[in-house]
Amino acid sequence: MNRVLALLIIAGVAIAANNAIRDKRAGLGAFSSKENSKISKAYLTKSVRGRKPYEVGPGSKKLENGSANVVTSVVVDYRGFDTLGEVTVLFTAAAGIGLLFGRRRRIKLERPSAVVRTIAPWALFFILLVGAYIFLHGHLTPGGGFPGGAMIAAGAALMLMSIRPKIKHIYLKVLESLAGITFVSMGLIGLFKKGSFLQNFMTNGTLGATFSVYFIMIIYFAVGIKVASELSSVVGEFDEMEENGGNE
Amino acid sequence: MTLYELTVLILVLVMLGGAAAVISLRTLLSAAIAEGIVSLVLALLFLLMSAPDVAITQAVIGAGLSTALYLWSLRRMETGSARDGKEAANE
Repeated sequence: MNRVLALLIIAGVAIAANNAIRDKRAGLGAFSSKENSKISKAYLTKSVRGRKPYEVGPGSKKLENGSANVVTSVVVDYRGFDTLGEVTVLFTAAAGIGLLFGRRRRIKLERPSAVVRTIAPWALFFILLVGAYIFLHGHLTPGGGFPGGAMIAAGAALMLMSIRPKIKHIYLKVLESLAGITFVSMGLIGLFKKGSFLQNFMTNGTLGATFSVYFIMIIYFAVGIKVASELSSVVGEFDEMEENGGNE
Repeated sequence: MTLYELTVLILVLVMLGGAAAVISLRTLLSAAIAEGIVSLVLALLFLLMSAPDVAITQAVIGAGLSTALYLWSLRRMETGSARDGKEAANE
């Protein structure tokens, strides 16, 4: 029963996606090239600095994509599906590592030196702050979900080396799943409201404002949480080892 | 040759040197550190070519996280081989 249901859902999504791709209206489907040059010009000549040759400056409204960073526009909006694929690849890698590395006993590290023990909490504070900043501010500045999440995971690695807390993998899994569900459901809402998977269906607001492109903000938040929890979980797996040596 | 080209050339040479060090160094620990240095210089190179997005990712993942994971793997190998009565894995 579940399998039939899943197959039906997949078939429906496939048909809707197929229709959206073959849309011949200008600027909508994958094969319509009439508006392409106009679109690329509109978002490649965009800047928050408001220099002369840029046509879209800070404070512009009613843009096709309200992100101030061209790379973000492409990664999250125009090619959001690729980002979903990347996140899936990372998830598969994390799941594979979880399968390979049993987790029963933590490896022994010698007690870190006084310098590490003193500096680590402060360094951790800044690493986690910058990581969160990078993915929360990803719609305006370079960076985004992947680097921000990876930076938080690097903070987790430092935490494991210095303070050595016990990682609770179940919380990381719940966080990671919630973030994945958010990402996919944003895509599905876009599909049913605008006719294309992961299409921007929210208001863009003013270019350069902190709260402007809600679609990109939500997706980058989800990607950041997902990447951070996945990579932290991987780091935690590396810290634990099977009972019989773990050296295959 | 402009200053930009000269800088890129120097950075690329440093990267090549680091890559050669990775395969020629005798201890795995030094090789892991050299690999991190190659990633860091690559991140600088990306920054110089005005690709800050890629530079941030390269610096965090290449220089930070993957080096940490290499060091962790080395520690696992050492613990495993020390229990088997072998010498510490350093080749």
